Amino acid sequence: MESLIFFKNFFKAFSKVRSLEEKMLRIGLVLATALILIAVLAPYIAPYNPIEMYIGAPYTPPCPQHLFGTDSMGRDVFSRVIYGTRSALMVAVISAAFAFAIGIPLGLISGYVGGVFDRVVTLIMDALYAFPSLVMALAIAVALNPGGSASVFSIILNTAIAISVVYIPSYFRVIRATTLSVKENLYVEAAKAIGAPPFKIVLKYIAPNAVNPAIPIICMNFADAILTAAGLSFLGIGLPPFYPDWGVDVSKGWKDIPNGVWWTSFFPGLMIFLATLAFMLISDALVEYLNPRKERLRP
Amino acid sequence: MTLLEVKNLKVEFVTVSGSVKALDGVSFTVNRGEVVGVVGESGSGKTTLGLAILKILPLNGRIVSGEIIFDGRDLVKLSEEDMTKVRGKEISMIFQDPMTSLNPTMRIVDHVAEALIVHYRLSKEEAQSKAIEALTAVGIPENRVLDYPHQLSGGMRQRVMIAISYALKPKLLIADEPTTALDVIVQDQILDLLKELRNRQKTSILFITHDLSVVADIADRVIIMYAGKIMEIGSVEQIYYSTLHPYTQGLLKSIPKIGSNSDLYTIPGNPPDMLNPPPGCRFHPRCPFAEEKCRKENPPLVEVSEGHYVACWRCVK
Repeated sequence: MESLIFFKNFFKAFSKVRSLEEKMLRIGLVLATALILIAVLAPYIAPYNPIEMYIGAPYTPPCPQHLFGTDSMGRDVFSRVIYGTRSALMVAVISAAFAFAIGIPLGLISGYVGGVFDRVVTLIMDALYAFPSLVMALAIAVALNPGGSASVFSIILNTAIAISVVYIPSYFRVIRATTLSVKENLYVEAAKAIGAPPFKIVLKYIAPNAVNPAIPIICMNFADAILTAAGLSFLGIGLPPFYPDWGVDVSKGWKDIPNGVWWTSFFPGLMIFLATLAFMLISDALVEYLNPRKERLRP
Repeated sequence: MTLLEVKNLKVEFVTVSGSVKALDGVSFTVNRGEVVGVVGESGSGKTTLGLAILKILPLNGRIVSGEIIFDGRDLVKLSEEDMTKVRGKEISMIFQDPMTSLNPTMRIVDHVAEALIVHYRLSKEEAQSKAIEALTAVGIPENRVLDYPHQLSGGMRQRVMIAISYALKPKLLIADEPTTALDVIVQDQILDLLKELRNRQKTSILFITHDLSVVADIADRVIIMYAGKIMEIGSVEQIYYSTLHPYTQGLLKSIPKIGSNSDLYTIPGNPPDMLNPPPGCRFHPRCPFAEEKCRKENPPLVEVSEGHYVACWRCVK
């Protein structure tokens, strides 16, 4: 009964907010903060060691000892789901950082310089963009992962790089497009007229006025990276089977469904859904928020 | 005493429908400490002239031929690297629209400081204090220097642009319609500021405008441009009181006069299509005195009296 009142107040707090975007932003932020806290505090939240086998009887349905039940080897699904947050967020952060660090400077330079350089880079980016993202990430991940004795962190890093390559064109295209319009501004011409060298013009006059549209993409990238990473581990590329990861767990667990064991795949799947939803909501709300034509969200 | 000598400058723009000769053989000089007004209709090549001197033409524009001799060097032959050292430090430019000529993400003091850092390699603190000095000198109160451009009025923003020139102490300032977007009172203040800049720092000013009354106020000499060519050059007195070119006469007649009841005089017709300029004198289709020769041959710019140049067959004896 107490929890019901909590939820009632929780949603009441949201209903006071006027616009839909702000509700989306708040829900997204609450979910994302929760995920980050879960990832950081995983050892304190998880009741069991996620890779220890036969903690309970295999295929124990959800019960007070094992909130989300246990899997085929008697591992606690709840603990695995909690620890799985870590690899998911790590992949998301690293891939977004890589894609941001490469896509944005490339878009700025390409848009500013123009000419043949711009043509060539745009062509390469369009080719990358035209590839189905999962297939592309799959190919790169397979090429990067040596297999065998690689450490878990290097596998996560390689997966993140594979996903970031897929995402570089999104940053590139958006930043190049805004650079093209920003560089036509009189203040860029004025900067040239005071003799500012090109790198200063790009860094101080164009970049601060052009990077805004990239911010929602970071969140979208986060959401998609989690999804793609889960897809990659589902397909068996990357993380070893014992490692707590949502994608790995779904791929191991879905075969149990016909036997009535739904919890081994449902809960990791739910987490993939919630994590993706959280960052998607933030991304969508940010698109609205950063849209200069919409003033209502501004404080 | 000559600071800038432009010789037979030709600039063209490549467009989808053909090449446009925006400047077609323009020659003139600017002396040290002199204010030269450049007057003409929209599309006559005034702004192109300013951009060509700094070599910051748009991508589809290029200098075809001619020389721009500035302080003994031909800017046309200068490398891009050397040109960035000339821009700002030796030749600086202020623009027509003060609302968009400042970076919205930079504080105004940084606009001035940035220019000082680029050219004089000052430390950030030194540049900032010099920038504040320059800003207060052009009439921006010290408590506003940390403002962003959107917090300032148009006149204030134009002062910021002038402060950059004030701090860099260029030998030549190209002012491209600096007062067009401002109201008359602010216009007057900005003109006073430019005059002060000239008097204090002996800066030469190339003052581009379409407003003949502004030119009369600030300029020593005037260049009248039409369709990419110079029609008449002379001192303010020569242009206003012994006008020779029919186009200049038309321009002067088109100034509205208070107390006059008659309709405002306008020059009949429109400026020519620059893709296919008329043969002979560019002005002949609109000229009340056009003769057969005007339609066939282009009149040369000749000196008719001391310092007074005209390109018109009627003045060639």
